[in-house]
Amino acid sequence: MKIKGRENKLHRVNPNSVLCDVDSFGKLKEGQTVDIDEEAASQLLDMGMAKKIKSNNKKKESK
Amino acid sequence: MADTRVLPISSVKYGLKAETTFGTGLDSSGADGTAYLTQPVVQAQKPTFNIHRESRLLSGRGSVKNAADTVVNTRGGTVTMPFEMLATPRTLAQHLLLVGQENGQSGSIVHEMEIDGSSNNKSIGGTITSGLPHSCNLAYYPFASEGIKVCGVIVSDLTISGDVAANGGLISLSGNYYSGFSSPVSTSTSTEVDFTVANWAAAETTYINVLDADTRTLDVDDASTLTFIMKSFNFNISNGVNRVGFDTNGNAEAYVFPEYVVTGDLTIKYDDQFNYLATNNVIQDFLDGDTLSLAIKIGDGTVSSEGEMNILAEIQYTGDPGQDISEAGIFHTLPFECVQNSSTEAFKITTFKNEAVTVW
Repeated sequence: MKIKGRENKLHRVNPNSVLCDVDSFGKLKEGQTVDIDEEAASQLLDMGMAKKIKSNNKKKESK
Repeated sequence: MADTRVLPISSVKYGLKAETTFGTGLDSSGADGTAYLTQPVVQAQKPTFNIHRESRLLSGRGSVKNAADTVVNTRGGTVTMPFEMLATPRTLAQHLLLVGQENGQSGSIVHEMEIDGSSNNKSIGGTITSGLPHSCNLAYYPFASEGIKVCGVIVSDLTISGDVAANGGLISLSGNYYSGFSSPVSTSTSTEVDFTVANWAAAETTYINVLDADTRTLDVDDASTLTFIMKSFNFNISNGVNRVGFDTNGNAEAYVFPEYVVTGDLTIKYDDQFNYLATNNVIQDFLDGDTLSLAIKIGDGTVSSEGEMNILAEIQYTGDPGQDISEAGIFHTLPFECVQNSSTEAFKITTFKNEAVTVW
């Protein structure tokens, strides 16, 4: 699942107590978007620390 | 040979779980498999049974009390237990509910507790619907099969403290649990309980830091909503709980809350905003008996993630503003009580935890 970190929020989270890996966590702290597994993403979404990024995969219209 | 077992204080823990029936154990069939929420304390204190013990020297005994001259009555007593911990999103919201007996939920999920003279329950003991009113089973676990379960637990008084120089600025909670279920029976408060601790939920590790307080405003004299530089604050909420009545086991039938009182103190810097000048005089506010709006918002004020908290209070100073003197200069120490100001709540606190009260 793709999520984007909410800036100025994630500094309150203990990185050892969440499922997100350290590398992705660091990027989220900087407000970047990462693609991590659903369970880890859901945890941060529940905590209000990230926003879900909607997929832009649109089917091509048939001619 | 004496036994060599040692029980380190750090081995002891306790947990809370909301009741569905006032004063009744959630699991009273053999081992207690309830999924208690572990509380993030450093040292768990033991519940204290405050029961009646009569001891008198009967006539005819001579000069020494006889073993039969004492009477112990567990009925009609209380159980209390002090606590102190760093505030986490769930513990803050739940303990506010346990002392204020009021909770509003919105969004996903903002918990609001207000002291306003009308929202707070004046008594509990009847039906519990969706976690309200709120009472808990408290599980005190020193060792396997040596546990104490206290039912009908609420919080009688809660202090919320923040100090930039203590605990790295992390907000702390302290206070006392209270129960009117002092008479041990298998279906309620009981001792020698075998808790299935493997089922317990782990303590939270997200905290709330006063150094995150983006908004700190207070009215002063002729000015309103001025930003102050804060050193510390304390809010103490008490509900004056009393137990009333007794069931077939001598345990409480209800609790009454005669008066919700919020007092506290705030220490802020002496500067151009808060001083003894004609328009910004904190002493004049005390002498005039002014009611002042206080706001402390930890986070960006939106209360949309764990670790954020908004406090709004209507305060009156209860004493002359004192001085806190240090190398950082002079600070005002402002003791206050919170008062209902027309339609504005005496005290309102908003926190974020994406859990409904029903899962506590």
